[in-house]
Amino acid sequence: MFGSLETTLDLLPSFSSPFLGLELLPWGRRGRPIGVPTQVVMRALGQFLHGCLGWAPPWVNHEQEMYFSTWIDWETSCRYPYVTGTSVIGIKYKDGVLMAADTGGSYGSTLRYKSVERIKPIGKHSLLGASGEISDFQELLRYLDELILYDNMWDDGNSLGPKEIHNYLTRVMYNRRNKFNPLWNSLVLGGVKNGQKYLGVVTMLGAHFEDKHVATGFGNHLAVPILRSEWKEDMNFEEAVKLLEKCLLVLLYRDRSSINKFQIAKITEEGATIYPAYSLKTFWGFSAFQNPAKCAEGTW
Amino acid sequence: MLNMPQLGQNYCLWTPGSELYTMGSSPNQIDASVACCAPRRRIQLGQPSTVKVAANLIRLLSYQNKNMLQMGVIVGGWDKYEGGQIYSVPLGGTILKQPFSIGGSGSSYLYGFMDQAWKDGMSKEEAEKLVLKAVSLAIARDGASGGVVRTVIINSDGVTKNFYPGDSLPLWQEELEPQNSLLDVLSAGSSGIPEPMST
Repeated sequence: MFGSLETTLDLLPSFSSPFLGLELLPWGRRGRPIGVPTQVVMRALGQFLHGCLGWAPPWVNHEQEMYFSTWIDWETSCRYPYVTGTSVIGIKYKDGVLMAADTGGSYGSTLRYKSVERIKPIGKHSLLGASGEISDFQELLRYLDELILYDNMWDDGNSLGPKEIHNYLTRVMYNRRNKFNPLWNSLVLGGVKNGQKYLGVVTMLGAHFEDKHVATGFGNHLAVPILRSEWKEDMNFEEAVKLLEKCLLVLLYRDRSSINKFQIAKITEEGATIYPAYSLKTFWGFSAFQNPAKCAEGTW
Repeated sequence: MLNMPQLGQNYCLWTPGSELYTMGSSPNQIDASVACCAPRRRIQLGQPSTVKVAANLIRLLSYQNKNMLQMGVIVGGWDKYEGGQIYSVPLGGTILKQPFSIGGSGSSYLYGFMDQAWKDGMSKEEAEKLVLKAVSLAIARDGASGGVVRTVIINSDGVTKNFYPGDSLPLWQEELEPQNSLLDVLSAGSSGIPEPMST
């Protein structure tokens, strides 16, 4: 009825397409090869079950096995970030948490996108700031949107606070890292719930911790030392903004992927406020810049 | 080379030639797999889908197949809710709404030009002139660009496609007026003709 086996296989649709999610490896669990007639039957059965149930069991669909560590394709597994955001800084202050980030999306060394909002409110009680790959950040926002919506649908008066969101993000990031398919972001999660201020970080490896002042990326090296020496308990809004701006300026001067367009966001018991983007004045009147010929003959 | 298949009646997928590398499938296959979703949505909704939806369909393809595809895409169109919109979907699958967008190999030379020349609220004619000027400047400096310029204008009136052959584009630095032959140059004027060298 089908003619030769090659034509039989041609009649069945391609299973190696990334869009179908059905794979059949030509060997069984015990490592012994599966004969071609059996393969034809298994493929057909897999296709039928995939159509009926929306999924096919693992003895017919070997896709799951292909994600075990022995099957990882090392060439494509550790992805590279393309459009990236640079540092995010967060500090606790008297009324809540204050976060700052610039609005740049770099494409390698090019400052390609200059109006990327990298701090977003999550639910009623938290703010999420991200550095790293922007597409992964956008995907995380979708996951969190679904989480918050699901929580709101219970309509039971409870709402997800920063601790819960932080834990959720940790699990998501760690799980992706275990599958060698990370979300390439460093996240800063700040929030206030029932008077309790919370500020935490999750990295792309799933490492997470909580602190009074945090920064990602270059901020770890340039901003954290400033915060360690100048942060104090219960600063008011003005002092906190001034401290953040000091860190942002240092990052602007010294980090090549930062741009002079920042967004500061605060989260308090009343809710989240994301201030409009603005630029800071920079200072270039150093005496060392005025007369460079003092150190190098012949230059100007 | 500009590759501009139409997704639907009211939006265009622009894949700047050299930014589109796919392993195992050509640009046309990508367009085809997305183009099959767009008409389906049109039937479901009873009207053309919005530009945002089209852009997100492409973003989903790009993001979910990050390892296997590399495509940088700009989706532009018009719908009755938000008017004209441009969504940039670079490598990786980020989606960003922008007032204007550039991409492809020749775009490196256009960042400065667009920073200076683009203004908000340009008319249709001004905008087309700007696009034409930009692409012709890119052609002047980018080895991978050249030939002809095709523009598409999408607005409430529909889709207008224009064609500009390469020899109708303005000349830039160190480019000379094209001639039929040296013989015409010689016969035209005796000012630039060199004398034979004697020693």
